[in-house]
Amino acid sequence: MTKERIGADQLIEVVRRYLAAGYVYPVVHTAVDHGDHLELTYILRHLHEAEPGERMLKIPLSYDDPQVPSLTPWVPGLVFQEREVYDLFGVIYDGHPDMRRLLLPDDFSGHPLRKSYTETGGERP
Amino acid sequence: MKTLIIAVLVGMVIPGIAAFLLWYERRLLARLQVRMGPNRVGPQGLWQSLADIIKLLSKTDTMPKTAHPWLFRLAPVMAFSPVFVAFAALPQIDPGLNIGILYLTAVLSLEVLSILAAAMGSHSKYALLGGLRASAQMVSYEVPLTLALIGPAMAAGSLNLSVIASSQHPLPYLLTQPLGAIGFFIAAMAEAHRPPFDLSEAESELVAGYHVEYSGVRFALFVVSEYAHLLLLSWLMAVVFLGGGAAWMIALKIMAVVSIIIWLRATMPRIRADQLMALGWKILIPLTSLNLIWIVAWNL
Amino acid sequence: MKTQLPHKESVTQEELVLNLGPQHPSTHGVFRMVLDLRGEMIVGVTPHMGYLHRGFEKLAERRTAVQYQPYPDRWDYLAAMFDEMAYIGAGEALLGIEAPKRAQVLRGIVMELNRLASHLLWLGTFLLDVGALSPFLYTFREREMILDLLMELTGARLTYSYLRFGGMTHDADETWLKKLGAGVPYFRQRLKEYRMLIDDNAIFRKRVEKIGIISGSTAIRYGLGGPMLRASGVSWDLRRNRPYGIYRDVSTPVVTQEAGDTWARYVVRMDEMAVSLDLLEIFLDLIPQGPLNAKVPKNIKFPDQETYFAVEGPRGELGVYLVGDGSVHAKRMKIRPPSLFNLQALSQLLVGSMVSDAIAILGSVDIVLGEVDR
Repeated sequence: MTKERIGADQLIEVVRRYLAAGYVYPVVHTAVDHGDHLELTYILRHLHEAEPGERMLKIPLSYDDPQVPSLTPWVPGLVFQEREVYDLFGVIYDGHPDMRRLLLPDDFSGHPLRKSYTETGGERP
Repeated sequence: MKTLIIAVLVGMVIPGIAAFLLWYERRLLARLQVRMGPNRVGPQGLWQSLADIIKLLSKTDTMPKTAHPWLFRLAPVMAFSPVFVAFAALPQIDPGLNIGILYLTAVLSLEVLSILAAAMGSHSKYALLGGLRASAQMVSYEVPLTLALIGPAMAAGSLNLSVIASSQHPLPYLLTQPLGAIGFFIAAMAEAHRPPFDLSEAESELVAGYHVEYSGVRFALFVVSEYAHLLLLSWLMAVVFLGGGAAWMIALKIMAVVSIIIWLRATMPRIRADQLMALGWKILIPLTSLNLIWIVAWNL
Repeated sequence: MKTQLPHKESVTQEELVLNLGPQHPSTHGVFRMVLDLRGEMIVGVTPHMGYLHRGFEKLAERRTAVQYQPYPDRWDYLAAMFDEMAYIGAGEALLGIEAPKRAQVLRGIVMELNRLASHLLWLGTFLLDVGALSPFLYTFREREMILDLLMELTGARLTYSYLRFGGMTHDADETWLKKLGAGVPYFRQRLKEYRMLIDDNAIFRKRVEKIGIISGSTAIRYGLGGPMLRASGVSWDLRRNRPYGIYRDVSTPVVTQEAGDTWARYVVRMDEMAVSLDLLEIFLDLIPQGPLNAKVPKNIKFPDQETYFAVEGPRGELGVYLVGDGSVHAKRMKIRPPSLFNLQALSQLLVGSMVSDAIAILGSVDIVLGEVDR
């Protein structure tokens, strides 16, 4: 598996390049909270014999304005994963057809998987 | 006076037999499904139906606030009246009814109204969907049902059911009019909402379909009318196609037909609404019409 | 007579909005689907999930590796061994531990047993949805036997907590292995009976053929997995394409169908059950004497690395993306649930069919809400 770290502005161009090369299967997409910044991870897979079989993309984002373009027009299999990251981390996906929470109630406030969110509710200072 | 007594007897005995059929279905279905069925309440679970009826009768009478007051209340009554009234055509109850077949088809076609009343009166989308499916189903299957019943009437030369029963020498109409017999059997099952034609009560799809909002006495009436309808159509099959006969003979034939119907419930998946329509219109109607032609040809 | 609306359309047509669930006999869990209907035809579907969200991913950041071990069973509770394998596999990959051969074969055995149990439950409930009441009882009778076997081995029927980093808790003794060996031909015979009873049933065929069709390329784009993918002609199975554990030493036959409809998914799962039985026999022959557990540090600290480990579960690709930070807790553990990806294709599958088909199609997708919601 290759790993590439790119910026949010390069995301669409790089993904489209990979899609054209046959990496069309969305394996997983999520975010990781590193304590001082967020990082999005995408894994795309090539279903036929190809080296490497999977490609991983990592996009660092800041806490204040976590925004990336949505990949759903090209990879429909990310529609729920993007909603999940929005729900649990607060990342906004530009152009997502249905940007609302996936797992938590619609009127929930807060993004629980951020490190600053404690289980007893509310944000940790 | 005598007719009054018979009417009261029918009104009391038929629900009892319906309760027995309920028990029989539960036991037979269970054995076919590798399990026991009710066997605790009374010897072999025979009092189970009684216990269930008592439970239903002792429930609070509920009605959804938005339900239509008249339609909702009338639906269960409209469900069991036509079925009970239809028993009058049977030779064991009244051998002199000369318009037997005609009377039967007329009265049974009133069943649809109860379903429409329940569906629309319940003010529930599930009930509505179930009711629409059910009424389409019942209306479509009346035609092959009637056509199938005309066969024996033609062969016996009378609409009177006791004449039809006694004119089945030497062979019962099941063997001389097989298409008609099969057509009647299938159409009657569809009329009675028996699986595989039970899409209007499809538990796994519409929860309980058109009687989803009913509980207590009203629901008990629906259940009794359903099993009474089952009894009626088995009895009809026994009389019209299997040759009638003495009381014990009829009872045996009825149990055989009921067992086959239960067996079909255990085996067959549910047929889809549009496939049901196709079956009724495109297969059963030609089949039962062919049956009539067959009878004419046979008698020439 | 329809009333004339002044300035909009000249005919009023109402779309019926039908709410299926969250409590519903056929949604297979607490799942809510809002269907937009025109008569009986579905023109739109909106799924709502999250009723079973239990915060498993956040919990992983608060528990040590060993404390977290009972949790994966509860993601997809019908295929608990696969959940465990995904978590343990990811952990072992990060820690650089390889379980000994005997453990690997035993893991393969319990996973295939779990796959059988999961498919049997799916078969019973799928047929129940379509209206056939009896097969549910027959398949559960068989499933009870499998659960009894697993209870003898692990102590639990459904959530086993059996696998450990480097191996597993209890070894299988000769009697258990013999029992399993005797059970395989019995299950094969039962499987044949099911095919005989169900395959040629005309009503069943008409209910499932040409319903809920999805093409191979659409399936790939939506990230579908398991039988959903293989029924549309895509020959992809992690046991063969990305082998893990004992699957690196055996060749797994991959079953596919071309039609991509509900019938094809049924056939694929039935064939997969037969393949599982064959694999069980192969594993039983393969099992070596030897140690059951590898050496594992007492205090497990996930190194500052990340890994993605996936297994082929009964529903598709079940993966765990694990990020460590050198401490006893994981920094992030993401669960890749096959049912969630399978649900993405719901509108592709349902729009254009009728309500009763919706139930049959949803049954053929075989979702488990435990892993969808986590």
